[in-house]
Amino acid sequence: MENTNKKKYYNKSALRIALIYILISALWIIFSDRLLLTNPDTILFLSTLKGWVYTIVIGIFFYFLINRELNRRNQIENNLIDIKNKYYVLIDLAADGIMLGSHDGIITDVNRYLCDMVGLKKEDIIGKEIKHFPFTKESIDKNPLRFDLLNKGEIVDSEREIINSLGSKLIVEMRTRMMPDGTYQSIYRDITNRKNVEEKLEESEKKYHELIENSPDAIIVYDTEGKILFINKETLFLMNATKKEELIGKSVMQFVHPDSKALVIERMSKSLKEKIDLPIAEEKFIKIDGSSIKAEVKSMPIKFNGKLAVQVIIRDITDREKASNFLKLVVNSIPDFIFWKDRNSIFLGSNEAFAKVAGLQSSEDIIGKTDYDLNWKKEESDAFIADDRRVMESNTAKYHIIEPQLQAGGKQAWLETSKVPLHDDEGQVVGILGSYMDITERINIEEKLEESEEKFRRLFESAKDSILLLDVDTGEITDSNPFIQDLLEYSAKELIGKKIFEISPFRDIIENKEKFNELIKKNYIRYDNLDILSKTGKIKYVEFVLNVYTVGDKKVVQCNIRDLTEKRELEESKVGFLSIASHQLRTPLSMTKWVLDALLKEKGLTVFQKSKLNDLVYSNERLINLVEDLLNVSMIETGKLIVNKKLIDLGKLINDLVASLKSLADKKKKNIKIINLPNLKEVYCDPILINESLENLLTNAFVYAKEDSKDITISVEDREDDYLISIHNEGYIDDSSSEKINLFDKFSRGANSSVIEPTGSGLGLFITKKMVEASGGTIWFTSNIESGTNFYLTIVKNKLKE
Amino acid sequence: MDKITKKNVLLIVEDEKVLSNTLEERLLSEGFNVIKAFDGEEGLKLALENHPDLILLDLLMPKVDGLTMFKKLRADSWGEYAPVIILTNADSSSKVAEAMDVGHSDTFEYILKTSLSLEGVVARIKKRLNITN
Repeated sequence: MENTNKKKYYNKSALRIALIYILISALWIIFSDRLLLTNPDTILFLSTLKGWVYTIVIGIFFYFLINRELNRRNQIENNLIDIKNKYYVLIDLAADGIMLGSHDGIITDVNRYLCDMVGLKKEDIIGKEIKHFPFTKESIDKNPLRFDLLNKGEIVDSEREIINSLGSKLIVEMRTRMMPDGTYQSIYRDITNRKNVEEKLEESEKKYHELIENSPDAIIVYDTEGKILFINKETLFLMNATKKEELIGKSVMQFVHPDSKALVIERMSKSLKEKIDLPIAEEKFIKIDGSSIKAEVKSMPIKFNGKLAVQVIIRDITDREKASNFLKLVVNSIPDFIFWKDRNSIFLGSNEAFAKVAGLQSSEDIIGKTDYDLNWKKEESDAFIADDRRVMESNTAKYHIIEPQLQAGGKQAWLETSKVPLHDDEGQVVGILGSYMDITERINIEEKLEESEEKFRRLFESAKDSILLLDVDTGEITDSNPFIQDLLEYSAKELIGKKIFEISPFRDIIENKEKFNELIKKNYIRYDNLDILSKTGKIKYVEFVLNVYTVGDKKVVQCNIRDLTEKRELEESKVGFLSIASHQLRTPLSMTKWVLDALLKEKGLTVFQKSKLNDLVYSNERLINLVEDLLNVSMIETGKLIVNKKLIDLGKLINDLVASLKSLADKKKKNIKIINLPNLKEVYCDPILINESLENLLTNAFVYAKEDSKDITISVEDREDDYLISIHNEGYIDDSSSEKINLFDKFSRGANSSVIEPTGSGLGLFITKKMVEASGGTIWFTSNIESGTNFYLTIVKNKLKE
Repeated sequence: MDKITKKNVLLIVEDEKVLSNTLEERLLSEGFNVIKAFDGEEGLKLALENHPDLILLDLLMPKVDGLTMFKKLRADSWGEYAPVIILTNADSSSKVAEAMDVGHSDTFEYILKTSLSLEGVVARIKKRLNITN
């Protein structure tokens, strides 16, 4: 296209019109003068002059008027030309191809860009039909221009593929419209590149999706409100969900464990506000099924569907946590002290045991510390660190280094330490792993061993027991003390080196090796009463105890044989004495008792006689009680107290006992109240011992209760393992005196009891305690001024019998 | 319950005369018929001959002691169920246990003489014989 030169409508035109006008006017004046000639010359002249002036003035006026109008037109036209020129420049320079066409579809003009685009010259294009553009065979117009639409005044957009003259495939976007003058204008835009990019983008987007979808980490995208927009497959698995709908659209906070809520909110707002990736954090989540998981979370702001969103990558570390907790547990369960340091001897961790001796609260506190920060002395730390260095530099582990250590609290300990260099993947030493045992005890023991060995020897030689030491494997006697030589009348020579079952006194006990081995297996055997024969045939009554213990790494059997011959003789005489004494002492007492009873029954006794007889009854009763107590004590002390348990109705026993004590209670102005008696129909105990124990406690209560108080209560509680019987009175046992007296001891009496009851033997509670204990129960009491005294005794339940 | 009818016969086997007599007097005054023996041999003989309603038996006695007599009595077809109260001064929980093993514990009881008054003994005898005053 060409610039059109500006047309100049000079003032000449206006001047010409004015001159023509003046000429006509002049001609008219001249001709009119000649034609008219009616007036005298002067008047004619003046009138002619007037006409001339008149005509010239009007002509000038016209001239200006017309000139102005013409100028204006001139300017508009020039502007138009200007615009047109600019338009052509624009079209030519446009980055889009532009084509103009006539109303009958012939190309009238194209710009340079379009020419370049299709690789043709302008002349080759203009004058051809639009529908054949760009005139290559391959360019098939798949969607021909919709002239019908164009003619209606609509703008028609179409996308078409064209092959230019150089053979390149182009994708163009084409916009066509009909101009007001009935011509067409089309704008072609080459979108080949954009299309290619779009295609690639689509491909990469697909890849990205694929990647995210199949990521081994769970990936969640949520919007600024926390609403979940996207989740991948792994998330389903992690959250234990079956369908994505279970999560998508819900608030992400719904799945955050309460412990982590604050953290998640903080990270979410930070991520959105600062638009930065956040470092990994540990957060807890709640699965669909309600269980919780611990996960490592990384979050980053992203654009999702054009909007700001947060993408979180979640890695389940529950298992890792478990594994690391398990390892921690293992490390903490080991009695050894374990620590690990980096190349510069800075602690990276330890087990709890180590942290504790180092004076720290927990193993977490040790990270970043050095030995100088811990409990030990400076010189010790120097030594530890130097030692670390040696191990790391030489790259050789050191095992079992024994060294001293000052522990928290100033305790001096001995340690046996092992240190192992730690390597990275490339084999470089990156740190050190140390473990040590506290061997203070062992060192002390070793020191004491010699001493104790000597002590043992002395004890062995001087023991009152006969001792034989045996080899556990062979049963061979390895040592004997002098005492056994006396007892069995064998010399050391005759014993040592022999097997135990070859020596005649033991032949019956340990008949053969098999039996001996069986004894050894049990580690401990005891025979309380054993008759063995000495070398000369004397019967020896012995206690035989066989112990197996370890000395160093060898097992030793020690036989202790205690001669009980004398003791048995003594005991037999004691038992005989007791049974005789019990009978012989009781017989005259019972005679006196019955005779007095018979006498008191006599009619006609005077008040004086009755009173004296009652004194005798009282005195006799005291003697009877004392004898009973003494006999009981003897029985207990000689081990003759026999427990004969059976199933009894304890409730009935208590009721009967209380009934039998009623007259005595009345005499003392006391009243026994049974306040709680559960079902006691089948209680497994010795009725005689229980009866006697309760009677003792109740009669004690009569005596020691406060004088003005009346009620003594007895109650039984059915507990899980036993029955608890408690007997309460309003008395107070003053045991605040400086000499602590155990009321359950023989002949012991409470501080105030000799005032209250001078005749007591001091044996009642001792006997009661022994009886209760012989039945497997316990007895105790509580006492204070306000609430009085409670005696408690228990009867153990026999699970098998009940 | 029964009254003392056809006079209940009681056998006292006791070597101590004072005790034996005191008890006999008291029981006679209560209206019982009383037979006495002073050792186990005589006691067993009288028991088997007279089949008394109740035997009051001491344990420590000359010739044949109470426990031996008791065992022999229990071996007899009548004596097997004869009611017996052992009245003794012997400290003898072991002996009592032994006596219990002889059988039929419901036909037998044990009283320590010092533990009961004469009154108490009579009450126990009556109870044993199902007698009310």
